[in-house]
Amino acid sequence: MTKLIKAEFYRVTHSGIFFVVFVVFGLLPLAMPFISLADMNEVNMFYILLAYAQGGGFLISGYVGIVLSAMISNMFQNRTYYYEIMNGANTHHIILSKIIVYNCITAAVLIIPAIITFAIMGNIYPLGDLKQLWLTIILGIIIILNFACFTIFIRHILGGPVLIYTISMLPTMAYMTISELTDGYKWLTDALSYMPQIQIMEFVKPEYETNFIIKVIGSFFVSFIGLYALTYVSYKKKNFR
Amino acid sequence: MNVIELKNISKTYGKKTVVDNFSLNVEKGHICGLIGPNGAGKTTIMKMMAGLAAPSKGEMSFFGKSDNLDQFRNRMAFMLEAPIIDKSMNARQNMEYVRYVKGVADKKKIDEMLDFVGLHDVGKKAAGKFSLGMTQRLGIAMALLTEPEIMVLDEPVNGLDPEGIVEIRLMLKKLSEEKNVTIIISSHILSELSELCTDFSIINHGKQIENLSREELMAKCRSYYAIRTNDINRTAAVIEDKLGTNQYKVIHGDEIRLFDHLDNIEKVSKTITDNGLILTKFISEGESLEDFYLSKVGAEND
Repeated sequence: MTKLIKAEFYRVTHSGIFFVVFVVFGLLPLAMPFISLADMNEVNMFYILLAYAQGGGFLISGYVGIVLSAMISNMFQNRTYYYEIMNGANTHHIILSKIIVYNCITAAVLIIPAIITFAIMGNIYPLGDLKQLWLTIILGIIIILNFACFTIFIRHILGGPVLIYTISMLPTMAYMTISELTDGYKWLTDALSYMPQIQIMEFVKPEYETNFIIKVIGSFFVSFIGLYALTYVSYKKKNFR
Repeated sequence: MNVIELKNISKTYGKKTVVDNFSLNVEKGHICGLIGPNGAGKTTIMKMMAGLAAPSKGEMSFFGKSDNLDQFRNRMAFMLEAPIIDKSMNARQNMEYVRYVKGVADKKKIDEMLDFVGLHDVGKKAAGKFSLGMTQRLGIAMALLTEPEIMVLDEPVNGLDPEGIVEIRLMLKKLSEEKNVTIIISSHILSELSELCTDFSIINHGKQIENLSREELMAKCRSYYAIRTNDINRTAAVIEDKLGTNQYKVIHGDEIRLFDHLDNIEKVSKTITDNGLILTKFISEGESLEDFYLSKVGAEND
């Protein structure tokens, strides 16, 4: 599988402008705390993370949905993954190598710069409840990786970047609209809150209920296992193996 | 030793049978031409060999083994339909990608292969901007990178100019002769492969029409001079004595078919007349490769 990981990483970093776009625009969500908190007097790390989640979360949805999906689409359009099949690679290895490569790229672009930025800000602004801060960061990482995996799997199963963007953004739009409405739709907002697109905007809380933590971690595992199985079946079917 | 054996393989998509009971044996070092018109099922057969399609019926074996074929595919190279390249990467980057997938340790092989196919000077030009010929060459270079024991090439000379076709043909011949590489190559033009292949398999509408060796093909498509004279027995003696060949046949006792000296019509006719014989018929006849192919495929199409 190491061969496949190296090959895919080489292809992504040398193929077209998607990687550059992903790096440049992927860093944009980090600007949100600076923009939102510029005129606030009392700032601590909780507010910084809140500003990142509420403003940056929306951007992350877009970038993971569109650019990450476009990077994977390139592989399908050029049929370069055929080389992996024709070399006798195991289907699990093919899928897992993509998961590893794209999650590493996502981590390098969205998670690591964010942690470095927050670490620097932590030296400037009060940290608040340290345990709460760590929990927030860990949940944020799980949600972002869940969203990246969701995009990778859905792109394997379904069509092009536009469809993935729609799938990525539709729950966000629906959630934002419905949450303004009456309690009659609470079941729908509850259902949508299992999706990483929604969790990314909602994960910063002054205090966590156990239910929420279980929901974030649980939805990661359920969605990973479920979508992995679907991707495997789809991969086999698409390649008539 | 047969390195590839296909036994009665069939491929069905829904209710449509694309390949129907196709069998093929290819010996090590041989070049097998898979000939058939467009839509005959050639690409599907190659896709099944590559693992991109599973046979609905039948059995395949590589290097004498029919279990877990994936383990043998890294000893093979495939170029199916149009060459698979990342259009936004340049030639070297595409080669590098395949080098990683195949796990080739030696980076120098990239330069060697690009040089071999004449693409060493394309620089950073994206492969998407390549001409059809350049794309085909890159595809072949990518297939050759791992020094495969078997190459499966789907219409590799498609879109190439005559000079390019000859170059690729010579290159494949060299690979077969010098490195004993087994090659399966498809085309819809028999004459294109007649000088290259050692074996031929003709296919149409997914069905096998005929498998034959080069010798068998040439025998079937053999050209000859049809000769009639006033004394057919003495003519045969003259051909043997004066032209020094026994490559002839007497047909119905009144016509000789001479299969030798076909490039020297003057010498043959002069030898016969100089020996006091009177020519009553002297014409060049025989079935061309295309006639033979059309008689096989055309009959099926009719």
